[in-house]
Amino acid sequence: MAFSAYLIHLGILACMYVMLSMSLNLALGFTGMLNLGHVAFFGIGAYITAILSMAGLPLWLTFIIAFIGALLAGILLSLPTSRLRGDYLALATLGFTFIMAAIARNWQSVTRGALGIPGIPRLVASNELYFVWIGLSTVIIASLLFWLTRSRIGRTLQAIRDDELGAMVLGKNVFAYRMLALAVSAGIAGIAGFFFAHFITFVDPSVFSIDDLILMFSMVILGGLASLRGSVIASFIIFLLPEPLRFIGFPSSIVGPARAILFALILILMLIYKPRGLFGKVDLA
Amino acid sequence: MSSILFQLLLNGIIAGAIYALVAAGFALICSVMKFMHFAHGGVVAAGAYFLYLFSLWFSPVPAVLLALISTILFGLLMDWSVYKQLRKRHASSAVLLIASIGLMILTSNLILIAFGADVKTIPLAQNNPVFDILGARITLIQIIIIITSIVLFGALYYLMKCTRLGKALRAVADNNSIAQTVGINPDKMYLTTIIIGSGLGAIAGMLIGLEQNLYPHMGLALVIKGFTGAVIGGVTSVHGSVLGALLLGMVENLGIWYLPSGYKDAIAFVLLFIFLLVKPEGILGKRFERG
Amino acid sequence: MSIKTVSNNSQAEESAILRVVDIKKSFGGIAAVNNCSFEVQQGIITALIGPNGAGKTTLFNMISGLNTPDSGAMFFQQTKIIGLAPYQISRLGISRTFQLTRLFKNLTIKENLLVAKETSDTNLKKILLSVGVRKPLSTVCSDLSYGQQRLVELARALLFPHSLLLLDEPTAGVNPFVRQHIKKIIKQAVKQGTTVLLIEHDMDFVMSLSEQVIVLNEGSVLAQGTPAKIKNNKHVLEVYLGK
Repeated sequence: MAFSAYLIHLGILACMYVMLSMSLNLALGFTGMLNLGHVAFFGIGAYITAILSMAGLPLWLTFIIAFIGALLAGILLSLPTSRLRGDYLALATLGFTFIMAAIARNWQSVTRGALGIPGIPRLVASNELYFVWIGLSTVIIASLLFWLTRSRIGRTLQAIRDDELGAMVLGKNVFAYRMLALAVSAGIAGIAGFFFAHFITFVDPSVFSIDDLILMFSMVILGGLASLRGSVIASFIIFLLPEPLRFIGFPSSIVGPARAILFALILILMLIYKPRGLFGKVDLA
Repeated sequence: MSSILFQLLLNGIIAGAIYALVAAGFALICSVMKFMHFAHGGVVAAGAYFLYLFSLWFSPVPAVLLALISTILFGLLMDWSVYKQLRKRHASSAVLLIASIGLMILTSNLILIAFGADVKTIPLAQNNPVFDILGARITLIQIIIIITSIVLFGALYYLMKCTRLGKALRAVADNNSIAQTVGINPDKMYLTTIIIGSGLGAIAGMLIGLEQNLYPHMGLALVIKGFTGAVIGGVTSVHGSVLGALLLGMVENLGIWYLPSGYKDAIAFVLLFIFLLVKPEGILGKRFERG
Repeated sequence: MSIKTVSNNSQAEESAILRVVDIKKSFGGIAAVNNCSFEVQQGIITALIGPNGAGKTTLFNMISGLNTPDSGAMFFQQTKIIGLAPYQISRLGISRTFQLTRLFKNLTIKENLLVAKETSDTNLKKILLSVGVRKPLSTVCSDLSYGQQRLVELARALLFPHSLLLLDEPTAGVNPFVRQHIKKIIKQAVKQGTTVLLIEHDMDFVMSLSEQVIVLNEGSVLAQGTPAKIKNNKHVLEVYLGK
């Protein structure tokens, strides 16, 4: 009984990471944008959900606002960074993550600062039902992303990744497409944040964690850039991999950092020995 | 009133000196090896924690030397096990950046496991007299920080501008392929850069560890300040980065005259953002080119 | 492949499809293009020649909108194009190739062509065959040889709806057989109403193919005229033989 509950718990979190890695892959693998702000979109979705549901707004409304809020953050980020590429884009988006974390820590009146927002109402009473909801959402989002990446839009995004100038002289508004990729990617991360808030029922500035960012990157790299199927599979693999650590008898204070070390190692080893990951056909340029 | 201002100014100089020590190593590695060595924060943290460790068993001078050597070895290990492998495979600077963030996370979590999450102080720092200068307070360690920075930056400047080694490093930073045609061995230069850079990071870490408390994620916080300073001054320019970091320290500390002190860190990020958007090559730097 | 119909009097009208007026462009104090003015007539092949560093590719980049001139004006079919974004300029009907072939390397031939124009597989196969590439549409472009990549890039540029085609050294690095083939393709395109402006170093190619030649030297126009006139132009000979 307890073990199946544990599996459901894992399944819920794994779905969240599937959403996060697929959406990151959209920006990183398909569009070639080195976006280190992805975890910020997740955090924004989580915080909006926390604040609004504590204010008593109905569930479906917080869902929509969390999604749109994160999406707008994506649009917002794409504006000033539109001319940045590569390392500089990475730094700027990383800076965005830090700024969001600083806002979360300091805007006490809204976010309660470092104390965080506890007691967020659960989505549904039972975990099993929650798993159904998040599983369903993940499937819908995955389908939408599969459709998007195979469409004309997806083709253009990949063209922009491969040769921006070439796309421009073929009549493509590169700025608009990059904004679209970042916005959609951000919105989905925000949805993951929504589910996170309602599941963990507590949101604090640690949602803007660089450790989690590395985790998402390792999932995308392991699965392969521009391979949604790869992201799904890799998310499950990487997320479930360290779970045996819990049973070996490590104290819980070690499990956390041990997991982070494992993820970082996987990322680094993949980058060195198998940069295309399991299903990727594209290199990180 | 003016003594408060002077205190803030002094704090700004001290903070600036600390950030500049971090930025110098970061910028040196960035300019010669053409990628952003985010894990430099890990090197700085390692410096602090090694000093803590060795000062538990040894007297100050051997502890400092051992910490310095260990940290440099740590930096070399990072380069040999990760960066060198990536260089061999012609990885882009984007890949190196992501790998270095991974290394940074690896380091801070290793420290977390090895030393625990609680905040530590280095026993050496306990005897720290305070002085009064023109109404502002400054501790002995803070004075040491300022003096050490001045000496180190002077030495670094001399190294880069006046010695053959410095010229070779600058040649590789400027154009790797051409530098090779005049017989400069890039691998040897990379090694030298890592040693000097990690050494600077080690000293930065030790001084910071003495001045403030140690905590596992201190590396991340410091490298952010360090590379912000470097971006402001120019990541490809070592003295630019030093100046940028000094500027950052000043702006941060004078800024809390107006803003609530919790936003001190946010100042750095906002400056980072602004510079990346408006002048990514910084005040003194050239446009970053991938070799 | 052009979408514009050409009137029967086009030869007589000699309408200028592209006008470059007093263009100046400097890079870090060095003038790459200096008071450059010329007109490209509709429906013919014009060649842009000149020694290396004469500013030819810089001009192309400014026409495409990838670079902005410091001063001067440019008109495409009476529309002012300076200040427009590259994607807007190309949508007006300007297509181009690059000196170093640019393809979407990770995409297939089919996907590359589709980005230029959404059309049926049959049409794609037709144009691919017309440039002489006998590879399946599903081939990933990084798997093609350099010559094949050049041809696919050309096919892609031809497919993109345009009335002016800019070709930057279309025959650089290709064997004589492919060179002849490209000549045929260009002639075919013009027959269907396209105007072609090409940068070339191969003099035989230029003289045998183009109807107008513009000679650029040190950023400005040295001479303009028919191939015959240019071949005998004293100044042009000086500039080339003096090198």
